[in-house]
Amino acid sequence: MSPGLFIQLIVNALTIGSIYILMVLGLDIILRGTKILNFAHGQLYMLGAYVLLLFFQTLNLNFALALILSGATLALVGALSYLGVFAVLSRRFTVSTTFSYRLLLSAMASVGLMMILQQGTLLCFGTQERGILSPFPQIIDVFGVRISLTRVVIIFLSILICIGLFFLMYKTRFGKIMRAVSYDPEAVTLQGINTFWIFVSCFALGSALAGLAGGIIAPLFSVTPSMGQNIIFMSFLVLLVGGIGSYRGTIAGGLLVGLLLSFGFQFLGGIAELFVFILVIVILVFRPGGLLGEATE
Amino acid sequence: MLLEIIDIAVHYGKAEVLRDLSLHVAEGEIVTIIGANGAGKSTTLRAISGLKSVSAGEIKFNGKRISGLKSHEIVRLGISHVPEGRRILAPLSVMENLEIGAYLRKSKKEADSGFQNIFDHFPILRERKNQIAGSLSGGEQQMLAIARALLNQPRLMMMDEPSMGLSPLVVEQVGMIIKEINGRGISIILVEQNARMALNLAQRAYVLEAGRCVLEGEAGAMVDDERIKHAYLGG
Repeated sequence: MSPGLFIQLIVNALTIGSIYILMVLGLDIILRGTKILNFAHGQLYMLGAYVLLLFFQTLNLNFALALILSGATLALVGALSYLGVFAVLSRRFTVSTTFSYRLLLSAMASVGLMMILQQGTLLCFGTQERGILSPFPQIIDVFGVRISLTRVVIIFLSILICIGLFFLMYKTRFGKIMRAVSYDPEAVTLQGINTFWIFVSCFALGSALAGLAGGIIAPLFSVTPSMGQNIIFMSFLVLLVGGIGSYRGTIAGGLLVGLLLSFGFQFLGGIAELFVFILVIVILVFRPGGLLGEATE
Repeated sequence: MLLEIIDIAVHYGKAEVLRDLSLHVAEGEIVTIIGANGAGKSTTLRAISGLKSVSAGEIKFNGKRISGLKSHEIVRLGISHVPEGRRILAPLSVMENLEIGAYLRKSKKEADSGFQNIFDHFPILRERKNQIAGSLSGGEQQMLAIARALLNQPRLMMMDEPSMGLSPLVVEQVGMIIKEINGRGISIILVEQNARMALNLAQRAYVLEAGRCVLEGEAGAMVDDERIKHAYLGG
């Protein structure tokens, strides 16, 4: 393998990996904060791409602004979804609704939400593929290796978003409360904090991350109503590889799966995805909590 | 009267876990609730702090009805609850736990003076402030839980089994802390399996059995009561 190809494959791996990382960070924040396994996460990603399309292509806004707006719009969609679906559902829970049953019911509700968002998008936008012209079409030359600037920008923006997220979660009071609620909402309520709005915020933040991921990827891949279905299962696998409840695990898992897919597609073709499943099985057998996850029992 | 509970009942599903329970706490008092496992002691505290809704009767704090309010609203009125098992936020640092306890403080300055006060009383927490709370010893975790509740600026503090799982020496230390908190004018409801410690600290006591109050009175007199000795003090 030429060094040029090697570097290109690494760049591709980082591109795919960063999208998975954004997706899975969002899934994980929602799962731990609200105890909802969000099957609609892929559709939120898809909507993020459509919103970017709208702001960037149709309304001709600047890319960075359009991206921020897709994050913000999806935060709003997430908050409304939580209020309209999951908050209503959780009001029906009683003391005899066990934790695993709650988890199952809210996961089922999220499947319903997934279908609504999916079909709604189909109705509004039709089945045809759309795409935006990348605002960064240049090819950059790094020591003789040709790399697409779009991919570099995607990686850079993902890193920026991750840094922002960690700052939010670890340095601000709001983030600390979200982490606390993920661990023990009742103990947080007892400090005078209205945890309901923290649940809403966790769902909104997770959705915003999905929206940003969809918006970031739009200049590279075509935008279709089905793009969410393809990514959601791979995101769940990354979540399992990295481990629930560990940001470092999510990053490691995203990069590992990115590398596997990037090199796999180059040398093995479509069968590469099979190796991701094998990786998941191997990891679950030997480390049931994932690479760096907190759940080990 | 600071806290008045009038004939409350609490259900878990169809099971009635508290029935016709009445109880009161005066300003500045230490009141203890003792009883066997499953007698309804923790449920009583959970009903007061709004974690569990009452199905009959009412709870008044400072003359105002609080049953029916949400937990976070009740804390704001001045009732802090140190729940069973301490419930510190294990993955967060000690300082972050305290910051969350200080959520209701209006300004940063007010929060900082609260932390200062806590560190003066619990120097060990200052030493450990950047450590992950889950890495503290049982006694330190209990102090963190109490400190966090104090930051809520309560007028009434409810402690559920603060001595659970602690060595006798640390239990004694916790007892001193409870006395000291009470000395600042904060009323206390103490729920304990360790009835001897509880009766020594409290002025008055309630004995619960199967969700009903079977005895109430001066704590000092109860230590000598034959029935209490037999049932809760080990002979």
